[in-house]
Amino acid sequence: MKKIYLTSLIAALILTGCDGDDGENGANGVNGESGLNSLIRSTVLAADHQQCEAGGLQHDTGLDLNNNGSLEDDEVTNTSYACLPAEEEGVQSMLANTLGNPWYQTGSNQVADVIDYPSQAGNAKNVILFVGDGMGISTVTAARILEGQLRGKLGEEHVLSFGQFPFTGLAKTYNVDAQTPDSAGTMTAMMTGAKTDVGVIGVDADIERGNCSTVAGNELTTALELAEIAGKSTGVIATARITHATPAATYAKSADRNWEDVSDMPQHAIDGGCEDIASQLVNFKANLETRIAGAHVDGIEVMFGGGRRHFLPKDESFNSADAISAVEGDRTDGRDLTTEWQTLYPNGQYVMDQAGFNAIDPATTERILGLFNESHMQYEADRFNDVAGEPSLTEMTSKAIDILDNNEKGFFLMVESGRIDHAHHAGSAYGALTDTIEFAQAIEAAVANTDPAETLIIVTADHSHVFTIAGYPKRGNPILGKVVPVGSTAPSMAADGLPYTTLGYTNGRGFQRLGMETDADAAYGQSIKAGRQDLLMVDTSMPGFHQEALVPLSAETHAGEDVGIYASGPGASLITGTNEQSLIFHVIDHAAGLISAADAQLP
Amino acid sequence: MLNMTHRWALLPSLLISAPLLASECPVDRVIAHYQIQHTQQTNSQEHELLLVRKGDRVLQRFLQAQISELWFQQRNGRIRPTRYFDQHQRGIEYQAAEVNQNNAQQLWQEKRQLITGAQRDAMTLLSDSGQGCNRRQRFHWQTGNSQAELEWAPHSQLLVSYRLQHGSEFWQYQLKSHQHDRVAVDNELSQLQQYPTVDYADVGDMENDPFLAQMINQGFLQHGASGFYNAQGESLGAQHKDHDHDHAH
Repeated sequence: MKKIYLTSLIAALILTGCDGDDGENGANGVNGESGLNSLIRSTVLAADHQQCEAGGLQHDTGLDLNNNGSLEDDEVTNTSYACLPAEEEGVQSMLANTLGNPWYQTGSNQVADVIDYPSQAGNAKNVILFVGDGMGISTVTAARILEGQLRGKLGEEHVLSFGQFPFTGLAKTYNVDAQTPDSAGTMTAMMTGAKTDVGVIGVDADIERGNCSTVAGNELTTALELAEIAGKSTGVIATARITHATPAATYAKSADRNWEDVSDMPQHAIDGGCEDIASQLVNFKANLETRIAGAHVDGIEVMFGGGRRHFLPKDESFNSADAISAVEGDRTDGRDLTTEWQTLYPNGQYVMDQAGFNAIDPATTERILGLFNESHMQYEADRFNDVAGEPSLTEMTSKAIDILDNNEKGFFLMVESGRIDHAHHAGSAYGALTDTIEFAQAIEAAVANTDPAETLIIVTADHSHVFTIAGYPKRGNPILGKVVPVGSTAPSMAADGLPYTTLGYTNGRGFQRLGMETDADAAYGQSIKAGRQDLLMVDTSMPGFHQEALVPLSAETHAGEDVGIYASGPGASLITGTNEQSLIFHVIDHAAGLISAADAQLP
Repeated sequence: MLNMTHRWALLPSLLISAPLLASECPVDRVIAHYQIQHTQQTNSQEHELLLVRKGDRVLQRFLQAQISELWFQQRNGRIRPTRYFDQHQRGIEYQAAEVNQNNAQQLWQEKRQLITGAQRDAMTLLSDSGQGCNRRQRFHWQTGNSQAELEWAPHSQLLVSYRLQHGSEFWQYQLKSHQHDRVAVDNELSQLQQYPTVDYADVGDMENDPFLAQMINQGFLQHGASGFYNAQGESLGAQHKDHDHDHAH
């Protein structure tokens, strides 16, 4: 400690008389003995001192008895402390108007929550990767405002379930050969740690899209496959077809994302020995054990999604009660993959509707294949229109976790909300946002159903859309409404004298006014109507309203900006900054120790 | 590519010589070949339409345009169309119409019979003759400067002829031939269903597909367009549907 010696100052007090005359001077007195100096010794205290938590000064006072000009310890007769105030008290003086502010307190608490957050390798027993297909930043923002407004709030202050996760970063979504990506390339990056080309599944960028012969030797290993080899349970959930690009990238290797069944493949690809994606799902165990020497896996435990058409023969006698086409199946090789799967897994259950789903007992179910729609599952807003009924994403997520967590080694689960993307393509903000809200609720259910100390949950998107939140609407203005400025109740008018909506698209099919229609794809039955429309008398919050679009296209497109990554649980603190999308695999691997655990299982 | 005109030249002309027993002209198994004439001012066009019914599906083939629409009635009553393009041997699946039960029934009748029961009920019955499959009903309707005449085969629920005059615009449907052969009906449907199809929801991810880029920009019949196409695949005669609509209500 630094010691600072100060000589005391003796102040002379001069008494000043008043009014009367001065008396005569008296005789001189006898000289007295020399006096002692009073000294103060001040010592700077570091933080965490017993007396001063935040540090400060210790003041020792006493007489310089030995008259050496220094105050020794035995000369100290009094000690006092001038402590620096604790931080909050100090800040109190500077930020008096801020500390009580709820925004400030929320941020402060969030910082406190992440101190010493665990990121040790292998700490995550379970991993859940949630992918909102096409769920760009603007979609997340608009969805949280809508969810808040649906709950009676102004909306902007609301937080979606994953918005409360402690760690967030950004992902650069481009594909190796594309500035604006697609789901195949982006999901392959997330699942394998390696970016690849647009349109290909589970293979690296040395692939030539559509060329079957280039697949061999370029296959990438996915996090789901590593988890399988490591002995964990695995699951894939999608509201899209289970063979669609995003779910397919967890289990398949394909030179083209569109090879969902054999009828989608060119003859040269079939002749070249390439296997369609649906078949790869059913043959997952055999394929993985063939590709990874010495691996012994038991196959994916939970598969929920749409896409029955790719599993059934093109024969109406195979139609299910849920068929939406005259002939439900597409397969031209006569195979019924649902029965093949049941043959491979006699203990597995195949279900195709809500009733079958409801009958699943998670405690006793070893394995489940649920194909709830001929093509994609319904939009959440349109789910009530399904022919045979189908479960929500939240229901599927909860049931999957209840099945997968029967494995003491843990699980890997991928959950895709696939139809956010489709609603945007159709130009329906209502469809995209209501599916995003359902997605957030599924995440909330996953958080509630898992132990945060042993479960890494990552929420992200594969790419964004050309979807904007524009204008200067006032606080609490309906997010699906027209722009109404601060201090007004009337819509703002654009330079063309017409009102405009807060939400809009840069391209796509544009305006539609389909009333209470909850199927966003109904717009495809209408002519393209891009450009400005007179919305003055239009209720833009209706489910069937489709936002204006600037550039006329047959379908709205993806966008190329970064997407958010939100994480909680062991390893989540690694999600920060701006990253290549392929980082997500590495965070998963680090947190769950997938590679090392899988390697330990190999001979 | 199919030469439909040639194919139909092989079919027997059976309109008047159809079997007498109603059981021999089943409603849900039929192929009907129509000649459609549309005249507006001095401009007149002719088109051929093949109407195929089999149970819960109705196929309308527009022969000149080489476009076909297959309407499938789902178990919940909703009707889902798929449009096939002969030239490309591809199809696009659209979403089922979200309409109330009454409208769904009318839409189904419109696709299946070319005229709804409500439209027919609004007309005046002029005559009812013949028996079984040869029974014919003649109807008339007139209001303002519009008038229509209908000949209807109740047992097979086929429109035999229909003439609609609205101002200077004129439509005529004429049944040229029909048959109820099971094999022929199955062949007509299965042939189209061999075409690979795309769920329209996937189009956003398939912009680079040249077929889709060309085809998906065309209008569709359900809301405004007539469902009839010219040889360029362009939708025809929205006014025709509007007149029918006015007529029925």
